Amino acid sequence: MPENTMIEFLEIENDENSSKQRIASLINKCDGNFTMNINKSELKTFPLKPPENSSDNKELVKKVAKDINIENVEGTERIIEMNLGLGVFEQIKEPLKYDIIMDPKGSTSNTSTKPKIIMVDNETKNGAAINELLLPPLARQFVMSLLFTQPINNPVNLTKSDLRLWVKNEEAALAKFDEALEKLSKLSIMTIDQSGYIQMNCEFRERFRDCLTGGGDHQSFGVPCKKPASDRPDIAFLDRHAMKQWEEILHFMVGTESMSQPSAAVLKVVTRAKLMKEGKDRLMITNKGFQFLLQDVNTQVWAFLIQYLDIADELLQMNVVEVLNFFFMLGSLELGMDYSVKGLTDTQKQLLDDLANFGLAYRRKKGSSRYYPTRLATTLTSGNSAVVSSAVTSSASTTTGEDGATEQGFIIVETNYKLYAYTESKLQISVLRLFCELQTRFANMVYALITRDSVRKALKHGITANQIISYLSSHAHPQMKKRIPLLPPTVVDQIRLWEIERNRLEATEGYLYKEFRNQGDYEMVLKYATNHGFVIWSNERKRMFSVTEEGHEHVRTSLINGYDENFTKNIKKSELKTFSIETSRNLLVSDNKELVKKSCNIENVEEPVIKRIRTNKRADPKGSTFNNSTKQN
Amino acid sequence: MNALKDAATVNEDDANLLVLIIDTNPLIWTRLAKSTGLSLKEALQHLMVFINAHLALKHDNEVAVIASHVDVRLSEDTDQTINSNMYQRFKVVNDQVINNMKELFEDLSKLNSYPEKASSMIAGALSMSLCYINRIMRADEIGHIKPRIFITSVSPDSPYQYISIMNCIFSAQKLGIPIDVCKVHGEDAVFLQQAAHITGGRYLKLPIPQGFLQFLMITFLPDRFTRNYQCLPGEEKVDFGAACFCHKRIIDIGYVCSVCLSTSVNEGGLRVVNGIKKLDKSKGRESGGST
Repeated sequence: MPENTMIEFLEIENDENSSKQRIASLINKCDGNFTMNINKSELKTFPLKPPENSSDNKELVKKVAKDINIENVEGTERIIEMNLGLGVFEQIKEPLKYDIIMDPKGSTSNTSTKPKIIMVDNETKNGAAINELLLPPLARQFVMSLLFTQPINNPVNLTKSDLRLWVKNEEAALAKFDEALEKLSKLSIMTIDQSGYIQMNCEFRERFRDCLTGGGDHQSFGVPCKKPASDRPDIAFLDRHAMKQWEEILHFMVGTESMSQPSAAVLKVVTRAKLMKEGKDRLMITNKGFQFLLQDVNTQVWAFLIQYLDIADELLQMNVVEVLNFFFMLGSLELGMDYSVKGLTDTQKQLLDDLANFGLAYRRKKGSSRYYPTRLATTLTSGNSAVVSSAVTSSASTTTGEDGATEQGFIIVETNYKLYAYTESKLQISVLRLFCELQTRFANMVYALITRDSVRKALKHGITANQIISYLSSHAHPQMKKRIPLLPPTVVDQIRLWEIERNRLEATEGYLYKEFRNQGDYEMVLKYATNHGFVIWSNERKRMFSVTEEGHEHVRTSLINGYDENFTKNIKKSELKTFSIETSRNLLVSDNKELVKKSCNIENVEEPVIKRIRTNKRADPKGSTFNNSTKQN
Repeated sequence: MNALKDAATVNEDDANLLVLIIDTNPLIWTRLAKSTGLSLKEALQHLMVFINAHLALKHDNEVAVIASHVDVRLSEDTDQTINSNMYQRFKVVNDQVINNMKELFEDLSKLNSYPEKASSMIAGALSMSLCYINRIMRADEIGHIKPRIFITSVSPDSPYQYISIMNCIFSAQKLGIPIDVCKVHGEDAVFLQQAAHITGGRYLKLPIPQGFLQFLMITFLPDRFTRNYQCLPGEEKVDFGAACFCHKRIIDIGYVCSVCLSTSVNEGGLRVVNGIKKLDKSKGRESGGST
């Protein structure tokens, strides 16, 4: 009997207990009106049961599910129908129909203003890209498993606990499972409705199915030109173009001389992303900009595009959905092919011009009817490893020269902190200069040293040690890549240590009391402050101590006004006036909190910090000097 | 961190190489289409979707398809149809597979001349896929590609191929390549069942041939990383039947040589396996070991 075998196959429980639970829950769900799935178009479901079973189910539903003994159901001929909702996909449309003429309006019909919905709307257009980009592997697998289970407009009747049985009953696996479901529901691909069923977004299902089977006419993979142009640019040319355009932006950010002003869109993006800010007469690079420079190209492009998306709505009056659609489409195009602008909306045409400026696409001239995606665009959805895999399969090793260097990696780091960079690119050299001391420059390589000072300089710019390390490893020379670990551990550790070094000081704000006339005064005030627990640090020999910020107010008022009975008892009013206590608001710095309480040798604190404290002293109108600098680090 | 360990452990970022061996034995497929309604054409369509799904899972996933065809003699007659590294270029892959399949079948005009019991050349296909994987793995210096083999089998076991199949299985085991087997039709394939068991792959006998795609998607699509976390359907019982080395026949009880572990229905067979020249010298030891 086919249904028996079917059920047997579908049971994936690994223990009896959970299987019982599931069966109970399934019986709860049996709603009696289980209909034979009438397929919408080309899909058919394999019938799970002879129709007379549904009457049995009706009876079953009336009973309380818990009272039913599943193991010994009377009358063995009866079949408990398990409405898993898992039909069987029987027939597919003939595949191989990809070059369809598209109607982009059709696929973006139900645009909503909510960003989440927009996401879904776009995923549906290009499921494959999204699926890979945003989902953990397990989630992808769930999507795939459920994709062909039922006709599109019939929801899958699965609860979360049903799905949980698909993963192993281990902690690690369950964690992955939760993560996967969370991601799926965040993206609205699968949502859990009120009755506890997991629903897969219909639109998404449909699109993704089309994507795999080649049905539909969504045209989300670009419209290739009927015949290639006679003078179509080769891949090497496109690579050069992409690199030139992209590096121009980066050059502009670094502020290399003799650079033409980039386009308005670029300017808007860099200021909006706070990569650069208004300087005296021109834009200045910010800390964030420095960090941006150290990232690999793919991340840079994405960061840039996301910012672009941000401004597209407000400043450029573009439809965000169309923009996103276009991004994803670009990601799925083939390098070196020519595509037609026919079928693109006006927004997308405008977008194309901007992207050509960024180096993501190439057009021979502004109103040209063809466009060519560059490597920057085609690797958009493939992650960083695209570079690696292309190097491995050597199918794309046509890159030469400057762009070849940036793609393949060019940096060799030795254990003695020497760094050899095989590059001629000014841009790369100036990026290196951010954290290296350049020593010698040769025709095709630069020799530099990673020193404490150079790294500290970078850290001061707001670049983190991790960014330096990831830059070094992502741009490592192919020969370095063979080694495990990739970078010499000494260098990596040292860069991290240099970063920690800067963070070993902890600042506590407080007021410094000094220049007491005599030891008695000093001891008295100190005692008062100590009793109240305000003292941060004290030095008897110098007659100085420091109190916390809140303590200062307390000490000062009781000192002058004599609020505190115990305090004024010992001192006469007249004596009080002779007090010349200089208070200064300052910072005490130490390794960690414990040390602050014990003793803080301000002398041993790193030199620049002390200097700064001293130089920043300024006269206070109330007679006390205080330090302007509030918090170090 | 060493290379050996890398072969066994699988990371989330690793690319997956799927070598798909399709048993295209025309005799069995014709029979299958008559009895269950799943024709080779339909099965291929399902497999195309499966391939697309595999490629869609990850941008650097790769697929290679090998058709294991039929021939009467022991000579190799497998066709390597494609190998490709496609990202979202389903069309190219599908076109290529379909076209090569067509070519394959156009070649074989003498279909009727095959005897009834012809079997497909699984052993040849297996060794070809192992060679292919080996080539890819060597080119891949950083150990990024994780291969696995997936066999869709329709033909019954061919005892003639027993030795070569077992050799393939053991080399796959050594290389850490799981072999998944989907038996679309007919009796359980004992050798392939063993293959899946030894290499840590999945063996599934298709209960409903029409639901091919659904079974593919649930059981055979998960890559090696997700398999660590998933409960997949499959058979627990494994038939460890062996075949006689000389008579080419599956046996239940037989003799085993203690030196080379070859099996035979009778004592004499072991001598034949171990070579005529050695026969006299090692006669005593062999008979001693085998009884």
